[in-house]
Amino acid sequence: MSKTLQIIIGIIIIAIIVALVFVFGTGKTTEGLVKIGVLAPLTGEASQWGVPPKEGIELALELIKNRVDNKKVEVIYEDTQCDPAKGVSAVQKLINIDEVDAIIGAVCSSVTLAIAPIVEKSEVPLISPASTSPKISDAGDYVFRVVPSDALRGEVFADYIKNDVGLNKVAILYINNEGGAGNKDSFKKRFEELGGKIVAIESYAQGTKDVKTQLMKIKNQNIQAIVIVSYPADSVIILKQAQELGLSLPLYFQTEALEDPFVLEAAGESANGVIYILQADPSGREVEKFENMFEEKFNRAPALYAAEGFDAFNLIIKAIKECKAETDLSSCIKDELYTIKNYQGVSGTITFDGKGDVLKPMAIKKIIENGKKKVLMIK
Amino acid sequence: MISAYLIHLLILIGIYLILAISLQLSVGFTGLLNLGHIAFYAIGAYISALLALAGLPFWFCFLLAGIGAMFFGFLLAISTNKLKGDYLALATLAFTFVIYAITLNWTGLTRGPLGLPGIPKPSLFGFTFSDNFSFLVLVFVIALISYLIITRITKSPFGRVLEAIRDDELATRVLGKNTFKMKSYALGISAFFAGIAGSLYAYYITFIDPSSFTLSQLIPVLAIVIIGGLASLKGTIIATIILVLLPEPLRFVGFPSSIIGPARQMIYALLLLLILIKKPRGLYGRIELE
Repeated sequence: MSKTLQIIIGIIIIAIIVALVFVFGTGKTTEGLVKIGVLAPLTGEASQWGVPPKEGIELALELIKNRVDNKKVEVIYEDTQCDPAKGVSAVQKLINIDEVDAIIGAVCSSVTLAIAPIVEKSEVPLISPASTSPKISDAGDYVFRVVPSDALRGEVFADYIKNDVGLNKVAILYINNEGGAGNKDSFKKRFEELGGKIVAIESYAQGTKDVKTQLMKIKNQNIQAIVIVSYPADSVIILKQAQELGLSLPLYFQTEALEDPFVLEAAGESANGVIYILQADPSGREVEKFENMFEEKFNRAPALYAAEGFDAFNLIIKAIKECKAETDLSSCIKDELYTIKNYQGVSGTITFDGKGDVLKPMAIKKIIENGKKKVLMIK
Repeated sequence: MISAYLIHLLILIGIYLILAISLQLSVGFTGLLNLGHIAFYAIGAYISALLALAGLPFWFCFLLAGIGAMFFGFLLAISTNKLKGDYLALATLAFTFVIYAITLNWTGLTRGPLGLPGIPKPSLFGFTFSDNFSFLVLVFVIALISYLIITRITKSPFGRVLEAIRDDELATRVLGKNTFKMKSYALGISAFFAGIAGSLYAYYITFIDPSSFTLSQLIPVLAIVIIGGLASLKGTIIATIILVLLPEPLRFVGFPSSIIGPARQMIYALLLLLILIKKPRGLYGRIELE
């Protein structure tokens, strides 16, 4: 009895899959329907970066009232959990079953790198709202992103610290993951090229709750400042523990994590005087409008990457509008994206270079007190 | 176009199958609560990826991935010789963390968290497995061979000794069997197959980084072994198919976008719980581990 039951359950499951595949896969008409797939970590550790772009996209979709020209726009969300294998499953489903015209994602660089060969082969354009690995530049013709590569940020920050501030000896503390290592490498390379000296390099594992050992080691070195590459949660830990240890060295954060309102709130006065770099704040009415609408919809300020998700979506919609008569919508979207110049997005001014990388001006900011920020320089 | 999606899922089933039946050999048949399996998978993937990036042929990378993992399997067996049950589980778990830390921090070799991109597609006798269908055939053949070998092992006199060790190690030793040697072989063979599964994963995804080989990757494999039932290869196959395919129909359920991610996870977990409540020993489980 029980064995037959199991076999029946198994058959039912397989039957459901086959049925669904046929229902969704065949007999579909793409006429009058534009499909956009979204790949992001919606659950798990990385969901803090996956959920904001999703919210940005939801808002953007609402604003165009689910329509572009005469076509209905459908957005399909898939959870990657920041796992390359799951990302590949999700992208195969989006491309082959849903037959999406474009994809927004992935968030984690590891997933973006794993799915890049697939979108390239299937010729579906992809815009990542958050992957910053320098290797994505060469990932393919169909791969775009609306966040600058880590290489750019590291180079600009090294320029600023060496030439504008005039520091020669620094230590680096970085989060030992793909984003952290990429940032560290680009900073180190540029800083040493300019004649600066990196006295110490310390790292910590992602998800760590204690960096006192690393901070103590750095504290005893003969340095002028510490350059830190961190994520939002551990930025708070670093700031608090640096304060507890009485570290008086200036802290330079090579991360946009400090822009996160939660970080500033949690770090409190330990964040005072900290300097950090991120892409230049887009200014103007559009940005304000976006922030107000976002708050109205979600009852909180947009978190990091919400604006990038919003922009990625709108860029695709803009490209679709240009591609009215095209039969091959996906390739046309790709070609249109390459022509985008000085697009005034809510995450900054967007221009794509020949590799699908975005060129955005960088801003150096300082936290004065009580979470108030001041822009020191735009580079 | 639908077929591309199904082919991808079948490839995943093939890779997980090799990984799960080899874990079944050490956990189900030999009674070694081995939580280091994902480390062998990682070793296989890294050996294979590094050699392939150095331009070496597929068969060589593939076999060396297995042999390298087997070597570490023997090392682990020697160092955990005196441990049993929960203690063995902890020691092998530590092994998983050690390998993870090495892949993360030995940046000169593994490029650390940046990972290894651009692993070439395998080719054998001048034929390149460039599209997914041919890769599926390759994975299927390898999975079938692995299954046949492990079935043969479990039915051989050696396999019966392994089961005897699981049921009563002391009694087996009294009968004059060198249980340490037997356990080392079991762990080594198990590691070999995990290594080749890792090699296939690296060749398929074409990008590996340490985050693909963490504890959270071990849990689905262990879940397959437990849900399939300990010491049952048939159960393992069915459980592999169920666990890989189960999340897929959930993609087609129209959840509101605000809860889409967590809702799928919760339903997936509930379905697994239901199976275990209905069948506490797994689908075809013959034994229970103490």
